[in-house]
Amino acid sequence: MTSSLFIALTETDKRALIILCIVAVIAFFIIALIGVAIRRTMAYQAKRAGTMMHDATVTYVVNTPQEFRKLAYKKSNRILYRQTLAPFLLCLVGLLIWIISNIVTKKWGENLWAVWSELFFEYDWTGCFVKVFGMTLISDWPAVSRAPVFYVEHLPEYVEVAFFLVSGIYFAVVCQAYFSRFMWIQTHSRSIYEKSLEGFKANEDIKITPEQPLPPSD
Amino acid sequence: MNVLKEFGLGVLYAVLSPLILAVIVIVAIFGVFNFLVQFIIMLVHFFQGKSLFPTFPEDKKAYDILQRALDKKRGVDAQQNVNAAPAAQNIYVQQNYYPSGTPVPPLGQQPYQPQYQQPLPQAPNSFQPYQQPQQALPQQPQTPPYTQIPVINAAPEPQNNAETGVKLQDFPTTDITENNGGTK
Repeated sequence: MTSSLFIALTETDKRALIILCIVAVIAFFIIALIGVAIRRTMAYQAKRAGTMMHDATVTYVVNTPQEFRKLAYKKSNRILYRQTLAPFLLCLVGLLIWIISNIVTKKWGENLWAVWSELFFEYDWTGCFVKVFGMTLISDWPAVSRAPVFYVEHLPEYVEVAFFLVSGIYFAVVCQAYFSRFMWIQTHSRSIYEKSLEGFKANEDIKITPEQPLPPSD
Repeated sequence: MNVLKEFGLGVLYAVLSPLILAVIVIVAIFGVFNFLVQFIIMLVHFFQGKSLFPTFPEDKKAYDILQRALDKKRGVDAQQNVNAAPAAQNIYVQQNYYPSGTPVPPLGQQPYQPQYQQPLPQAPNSFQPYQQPQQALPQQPQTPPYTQIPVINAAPEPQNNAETGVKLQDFPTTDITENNGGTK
């Protein structure tokens, strides 16, 4: 069956199949690398939670998972506030530029993102897709419909959008760091105060002398 | 094997990234509220005259415990040093000497004038130019032997047992910081 399928494939089909495999492997590695980057970033951001809780934990100021979580969340919230100051300030600067430029130019209803897209290529995607077994797949490179242009009169809009984008990405990273700390606190609040009886045998590992004789077991 | 495991986890995180993105959006909404709440708390602290971000009581307690432990450890270390053999003390003997061979006189005395006879200047003639008389200074100062080093400001021997103390000069008893404006 398999051999008959390969015989039925033409030389062009075999080449296409090989290229498809290579593309799939490359896509797998790219996706995996993105995932590795996300995972490592979160692990790095979670380290700060360990630093902020170290002293209170090693000195036994907090002794239960509840106390640990309560203090850790208070500290994490404060760190979140301090870290959000910078993106909020950037956003405020962008907002001020937007208000001032609109007061001057009287263009209050202008779409900022449409103006921002002038700085990039625009593609014409019509006729680039085909239907294969009911799935819409891309079949050709799109044609460039417009080259990037820069208008000096749109400079305030470009700056505003740049400020908004930077502050948004910054805020997303800060929120990701908070989420990483949250996960770290959840897992470590249990594991730090965990007591295990794994490998313990009451008849062999007697470490203390009981004041009263143990009651007879059932 | 570890590389494959790492890549597998990477794929897992990449697959879960939309979920992480959704969580980040929720955290972002919470972050805005948190910003407002913390800002109000900060304002309250500011108008109370406290620090904007005061230390948590748990951290203060932990700091005190750590400080006490550190002090105790230092105390133990100091006690161990006391019990140990005394360290060798280096004594530096200052041997000053004077290239001219003239010691500095004590206060209130005339400086030592060397017995120096200045030669008469020769009359200029057509054969020899006038030469400035040279000072009789040692060209190559050498370290004098130990026995030649003069004793300077040697403490006087006590005349009797009653006068064993050395009279010191009187220094102003006022505090220097008071004269400098009282800065500490």
